[in-house]
Amino acid sequence: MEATPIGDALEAVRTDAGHAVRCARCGHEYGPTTRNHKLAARVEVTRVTEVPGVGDPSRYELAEEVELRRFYCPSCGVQIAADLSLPGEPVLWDVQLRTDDEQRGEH
Amino acid sequence: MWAADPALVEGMDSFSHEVVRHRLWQVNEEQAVALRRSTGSPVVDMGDFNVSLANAAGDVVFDGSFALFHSSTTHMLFKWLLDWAPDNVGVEDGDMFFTNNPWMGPLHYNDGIVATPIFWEGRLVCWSGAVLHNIDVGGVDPGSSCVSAPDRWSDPPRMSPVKIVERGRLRRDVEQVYLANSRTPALLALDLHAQIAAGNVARARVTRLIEQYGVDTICAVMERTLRDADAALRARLRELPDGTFRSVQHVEQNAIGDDHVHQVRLALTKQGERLTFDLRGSSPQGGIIGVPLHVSKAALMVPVLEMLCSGLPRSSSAVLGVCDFVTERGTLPDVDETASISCATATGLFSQISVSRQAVCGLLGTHPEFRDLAFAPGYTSHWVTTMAGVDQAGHPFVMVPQEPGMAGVGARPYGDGVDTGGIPMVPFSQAPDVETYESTYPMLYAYRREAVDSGGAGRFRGGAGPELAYLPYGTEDELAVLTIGFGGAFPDNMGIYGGYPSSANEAGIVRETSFAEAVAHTGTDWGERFRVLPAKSAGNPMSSSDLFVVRLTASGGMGDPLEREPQAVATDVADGHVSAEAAARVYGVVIVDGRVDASATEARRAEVRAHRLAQPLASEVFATQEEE
Repeated sequence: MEATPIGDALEAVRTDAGHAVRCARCGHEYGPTTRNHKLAARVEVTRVTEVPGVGDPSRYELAEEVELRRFYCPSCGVQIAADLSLPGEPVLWDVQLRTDDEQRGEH
Repeated sequence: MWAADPALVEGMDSFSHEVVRHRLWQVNEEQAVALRRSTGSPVVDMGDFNVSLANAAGDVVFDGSFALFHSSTTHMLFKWLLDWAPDNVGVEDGDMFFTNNPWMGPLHYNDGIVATPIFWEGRLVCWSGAVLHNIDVGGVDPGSSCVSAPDRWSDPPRMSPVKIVERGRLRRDVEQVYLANSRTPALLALDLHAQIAAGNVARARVTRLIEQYGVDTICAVMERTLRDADAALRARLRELPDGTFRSVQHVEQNAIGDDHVHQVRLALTKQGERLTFDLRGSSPQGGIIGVPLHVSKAALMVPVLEMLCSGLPRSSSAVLGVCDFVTERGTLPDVDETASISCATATGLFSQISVSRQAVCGLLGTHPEFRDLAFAPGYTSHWVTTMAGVDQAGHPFVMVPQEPGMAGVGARPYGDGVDTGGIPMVPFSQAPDVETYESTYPMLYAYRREAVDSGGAGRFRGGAGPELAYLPYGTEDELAVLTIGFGGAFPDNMGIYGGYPSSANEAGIVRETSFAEAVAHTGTDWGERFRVLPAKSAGNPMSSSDLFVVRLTASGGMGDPLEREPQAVATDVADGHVSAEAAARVYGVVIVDGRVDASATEARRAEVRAHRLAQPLASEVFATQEEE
């Protein structure tokens, strides 16, 4: 498996232990492709007002406030995702590749 | 009915096939032109309609170049008619059928379909479909997106398939039943006649082609086109890695008075040549934001048609052939017949287009070549605002502004999005003209411009969306304003590959102002006089001293904004697309007197990176979980 791009700043590669997700900028290895790579990233959880052009959501008097989660490479700091989530929700595993090995039941 | 000869399908030379295929393609495009020029509807002018040509079995071979979500459900009506009509009202040469029943193909009650069977020597050859969004077809709220509906019985009246034209003669009795429920019967009649005109054009042109090439050739070309579209899509899917791509779209308020945030969740699995759209985990049905399953299917296929099928023959039936859908009945993507669905397009359709677009971008992002077909979401929430009242001539009117059509197009892996570039899923869409609106409705525009900080930040910036303002004009009558949309309390257009979401939508009324003040006003801050409207509301009063202000439909960014070329940020600031504050805070670019301060920028970006690296690991913040 050559390097398979995952968006802009991530890629999947074959390693001695199987397949892994790594940073396409600095080469930092997040972990195996069988695990949500975002869990190995640094995360900043804030209000959505951190997004330019977004006003105070309290004006809408909703029971829940959607939050902004920004994920960064733990080595070089490149931003790999900016998700919107309800508080307490699991981290969205947005790209889960299934390698040939996994589909054969290996690794 | 006529059937394609397999030997001719296989044996026709490619040159002949391409000539006839392009002729049939142009028939479909011409029926769209006929429709668009036959109605005076500003909604149709924007592009909220579409046409299709299907084979005798009802499989859509050609989808038109307007709203892709419309043409992709016409097959439902064709197949229903094939099953039911022959033993009931019959299907004969010169007939046309109409329905606005959302359970039989239309996305909601406003999107009636006219189906035209095309015959040769007494046998069915193919079908033409013409769909368009009518401004009003009845129901409890003006504009027929009945945000006030407590249940399906307050939705507009439902017409199951009827024969609207019988052997070439318009059924005036049926037409009168349909028009009687509308607040705008004259325009509705024009719309219906425009759809009939489209069917007449399709019938005449296909008949001409049959006379020229023979019916066997026409049937064979349609069959081979469908087969080639299927084969090309499957070949492209085989080149992409297998995997599961997940996304979520938040929608605030399922009805007026509801204060919760609801979700549409998608896990798109690509395995070999198949795409499985799994929507389990979406919020339960309730209020007015859910949709029937066929609407979900139409929505989910849109990004596939837009991006994955880029450069391939456009056939929604071919796409349907590689897709599987998994839902839970009684949830937002698959409501039962107790649900009010008149608002299906304003929220349900678009929220599902959004989750599909995010997931398809994720899939495309795994291929070095096909990644460039992806673009970040834009026009995620149409944010309908209906105005109704008495116009400058003393007549009742209903206006459904189409400014959301001036949406930003999302950023690409290789470049910025397109500022107010339009709607990719409506390829031939166009922005409504100010002059058309001011001459048709009692209103006066104060401004219309591209909104600052609307396009999502990223290495490549999302296209900016519009902001505009207008006052009632020429009428002393108080207008009633209705809103239905989502993405007001949070952004609705997500970024891709690390890019930021766009700005949020915002609509509201400024009280006690004037045209002169509105024209002179810069920026969007009106202070205490601005009352923001919730995502679902009805009956908001508006007088000639009030200003309606809205900013909406921007698009997401791509990649890390810290990687954007500083000079590009400076240009964004100079052009009014990015504020100096956002330039420094989000992009890490410091601009002094219109120029990039290189050393300050380097320091600011180092500061941002240090801040990022000081954040905790996600595994420390969130409980152990996998999204499997």
